[in-house]
Order: sequence, then structure tokens, then C-alpha cells
Amino acid sequence: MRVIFDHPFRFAISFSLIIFWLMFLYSTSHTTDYYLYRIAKEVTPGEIISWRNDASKLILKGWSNAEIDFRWSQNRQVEICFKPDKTLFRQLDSNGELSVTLEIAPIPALECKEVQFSLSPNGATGSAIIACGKSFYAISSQFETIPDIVCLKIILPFTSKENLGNYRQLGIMLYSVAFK
Amino acid sequence: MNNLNRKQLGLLAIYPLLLSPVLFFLIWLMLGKPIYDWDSGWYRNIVVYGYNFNGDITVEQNIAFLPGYPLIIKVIAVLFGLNAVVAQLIVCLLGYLVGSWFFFKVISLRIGEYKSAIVVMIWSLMPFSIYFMNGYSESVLFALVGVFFYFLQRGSVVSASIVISYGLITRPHAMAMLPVLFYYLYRVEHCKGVFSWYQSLGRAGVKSVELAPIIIIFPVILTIYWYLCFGDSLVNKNIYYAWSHGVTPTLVQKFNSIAGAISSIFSGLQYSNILIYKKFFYTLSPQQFAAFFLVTGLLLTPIFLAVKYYDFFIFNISIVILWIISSDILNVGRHISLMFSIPFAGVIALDVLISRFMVMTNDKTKMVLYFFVLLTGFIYLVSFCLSGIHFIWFAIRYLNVEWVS
Repeated sequence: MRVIFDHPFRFAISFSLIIFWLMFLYSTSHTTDYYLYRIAKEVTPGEIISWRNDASKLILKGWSNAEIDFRWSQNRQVEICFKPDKTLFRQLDSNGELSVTLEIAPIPALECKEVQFSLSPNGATGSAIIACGKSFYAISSQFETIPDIVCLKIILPFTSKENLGNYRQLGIMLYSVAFK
Repeated sequence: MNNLNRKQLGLLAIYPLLLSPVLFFLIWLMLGKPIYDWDSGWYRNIVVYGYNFNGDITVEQNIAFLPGYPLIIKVIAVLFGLNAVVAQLIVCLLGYLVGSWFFFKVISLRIGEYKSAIVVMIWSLMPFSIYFMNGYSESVLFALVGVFFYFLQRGSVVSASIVISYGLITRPHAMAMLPVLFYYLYRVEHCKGVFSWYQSLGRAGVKSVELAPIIIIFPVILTIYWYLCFGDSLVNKNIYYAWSHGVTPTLVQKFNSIAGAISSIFSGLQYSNILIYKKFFYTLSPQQFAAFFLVTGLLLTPIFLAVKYYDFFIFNISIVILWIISSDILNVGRHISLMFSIPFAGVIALDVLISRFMVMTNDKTKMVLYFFVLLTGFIYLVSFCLSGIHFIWFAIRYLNVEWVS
């Protein structure tokens, strides 16, 4: 070790400073989600959010920009997160049941294939065989207390091949999301 | 022939150091493009209004841009009472001049002043000189990299570390200097002749850690400033969300640049029945262009190994790796603008080939072989320059937002 270290004390001080700075960064920085959740508006029971007005209420992960009347999924796993209005959801259903209904349509290759859904934070799961064309799919779960953020994860069996010159991997088209 | 007198050197220097970037800048203006648009405007915004962030990462804000470059503009503007645009122009030009001069100094010790002047001249004629005059931070980082190599050559490790530190708050590409510094520390230890290679490696690692507080000093100040002003020490990384169209950015995005470049080249080869010139220049996509320079950069890199310029080899490879993992193929020139090693390696290679060719007298087979190698190199160099000219005219005229921003 003496061969490697000329000044062990100097090394220790320097190493400590780096660790101290990294700890500072870790404890004082925020994730992208933190900002997105902070600016997201709450969704209310009975509300239907379409591709036109989802920007301020849905936090979409793995979805394309809005096209003419839908969004494309761009990954095999995509997420839709939202902030439920706790008071209104609790008033509506004392059991704390929260239901999300998706209006989606698949690419032809995905028709009749199984798609899995998972609702967090409590991890309720479900699956559905995707029908041809535009259809509605619902998943619901009971929460002891309505959480601050709820995320619906959609897991597709596969996506289309990558488009040349365009990095989208297409799977399903999202038209609207309804809450109950 | 290797060393020039002052007059010769001055004449050789005037053209590359002054004319080319200014010429490109004039082309820019002649094409009716606004002075210092896009990112230059963001930098100017920082100079005039300081950093602003309202907490909404879906809206583009100036916090996305690092402060190293606007800080220098601000100092120049305040010291000389200039407005931000003029100060920006001066900083850009100075950055380019300083960078060119220090690179000239660094490589002239290795290949002589005459060839070094040619390298600088070729560099200034590269289409990416536009990045040294369009108000971006490239020229400042170019200067910092030149100064860094100069300090290392003089053995001033602490000064080189301070330069890296400032580079890190200027452009992320400054990270490419870190492996070079590590290699330098290793070489110093190994050259003592006392330690084995792995002991030297260990000692270089220890020395790097000891230097780290100097290297991180500017990033530390910046992150503390961001934390005090905006409550987030890494606020800068989150605002990229506004530019990434809703996709959370990741460090390595599946190497899209390579995949896109290769697939685009193959799709481009489908064209037929049109002139090569037309095919090449009118159908050239950013991906093809990226692939062309990426391949060129990689092809020339082994030359540094052959002549044992390991520091340039490491720097070149680091820039290429940064280019690949950043997945940012549209801003090709912004990556290339640090690859000063391309003309450097090109001049070394041609110099070796020409000198071999010249000494051949009897062996005709070898002579023919070398002739074809030279011809291939020449054709490649010509296509390199032609595609560069294409970049300047076509991209600025028609594709400026995608290509030049």
C-alpha cells in the first residue's frame, strides 16, 4: 500500500470531499417525476380525459406526443399516472375503490393478444385480450386511503418494429382515460 | 522545413485564424439568418436576466444551459460596457483564436510548426468552424481543451484540473478531458521507472482522487448555487424534459445514433438512375452525415496509437463515446467541433505516406500500392470537405433548426 499512497491523509480528505458532495447532490436533488407530480392537476371521479386535454392532468411515460386524435405507445411498458382528488373519491365510494377505464386501439399485429395492466401503489393486476379496433378496458382497485399518485402500467406482449428515421415503437393508440 | 520564421508563420496563421470562421459567419448572415438564434439566444438570456426557473419542467427555460460560457460574456460585457450580442461575438472569436493557438503550440512540439499550421488551417476550413462563430459555447470549450493540453504538456496538472473544472460548467463534453488527465498521471508515474504498470495505475488512481476536489470545484459551486436559488442542486437535468417531448431522458438511450445512422445509409442506397452528386448531396440525411464523421473519426484514431500520441487517442475515443451515448445525432457539428484530432491525424497519415512514396525508386509494385492508398486517402479527404461544404450551404439554408441549432 505504501507504494500506492504517498500521502494517505490527503487521499482520505479528497475522497471524503467527493463523497460529501455526492451525498449533498443525492439529498438535495429532485427527480423529473417530482416536478411532473407537482404541476399535475387533480382528476375527479367521472372525469374523462381525452388526448386533447391530458397534458396537465396525466403524467404519461413512454407515450408519443399527441397525434390527430390519439397518442401512440412507444415502449412495451407504458405508464399513465395521475393525482386523484382524495376528498371527492372518498365521498363517492367509502370503500376507496378507484376505477380507470382506457379507450385504446392496437396495431393489427397486437389484435387478440393479451395485454397486462397493473395499478400501483397497491399493485392490483389484470389482463385483457385486445380486441380489433377501438375498445374500452377497465381496471379497478380498492385503496385504504386514496394515494397521492396512482399509476397504471400497461404491459404489451410486443411492439412493432422500429420505423426507419423515426424511433417510435408502436403498440397501442390511447384515445381517452376515464375515472370512477 | 519543420520550423517557420515569424513572417511565414504569421502569413500562414492569418488565413485560418481569422478568415474562415468569419467567412462562415458572413455566409450565415448573407443567407438571411438572424444573428445568434436558438441556443445563443438562451445564453444571452442568462447574461441579461440571470437564471430563471418557475418549477414547470414542461416549459423550456434558460436553466437548461450551463453557466461557464455566459459568465465570460457577462464579464466581458461589464468590463468593456458592451451589449450582450457584441460581447458574445467577441467571446466566440476569442475562444476560437485561443483554442487554435494553444492547439498549435501543443502539436507543433510534436510535428513542427509548419505542419501544425497546416493542421490549424484545415481545421478552420472544416464546416464546423461555424460553431465557433454562431454564439454557442463550443468556442469556449475548444479554448479550454486547447489550454488543458498545453498545461499537461508543461506538466502543470493543477492548472489542467482547474481548466477541466471550468469546462464541466461550460459543456458536458469537457468530461472527455478526464481520461486524458488520468493517462497523463499514469504516464508520469510509469516514467519514474520505479513502479510496475499496475502500481502506476494504482498511483494514478490515487492522484486522480487527490485532484478531484480541484476538478469538482466549479461544479460544486454551481450545484450549491442552484440549490440555494431553486431548491434543487441538479435542477438543470430535469428541465431537459421540456426539450425531450415528454420522454424522461436517460443517459444511454439505446444507442439510437448508431442504429439510425446505419439504417439510414442502407435506405439511402436504394436510389438509382441519378447522378452520384445529386444522390449524395440531395438525399444526405443527418444520420448519414453523422455516420460519415463517426467512421472518419474512428478510422483516424489508430494513427495516434501508431505514432504513440496516446493522449490524443484517448481524447478522440472519449469524444466519440460521448457522441454515441448522448444519442444526439442532429447536432453533429457540436460533437465534431472538439475533434481537432481529425485534421491532426490526417496530416500525420498523409505525411507518412508521402514520405514513403517519395523514397521509393525501384520497387514498382510497392509504388503502385502506395499510389492507390494515397489516391483513396485523397478521395476520402475531398468527399470529407465536399460534404462539409454541403453542410454549410444546404443545412444553413434549408435545415437550420435541425442541423445548426
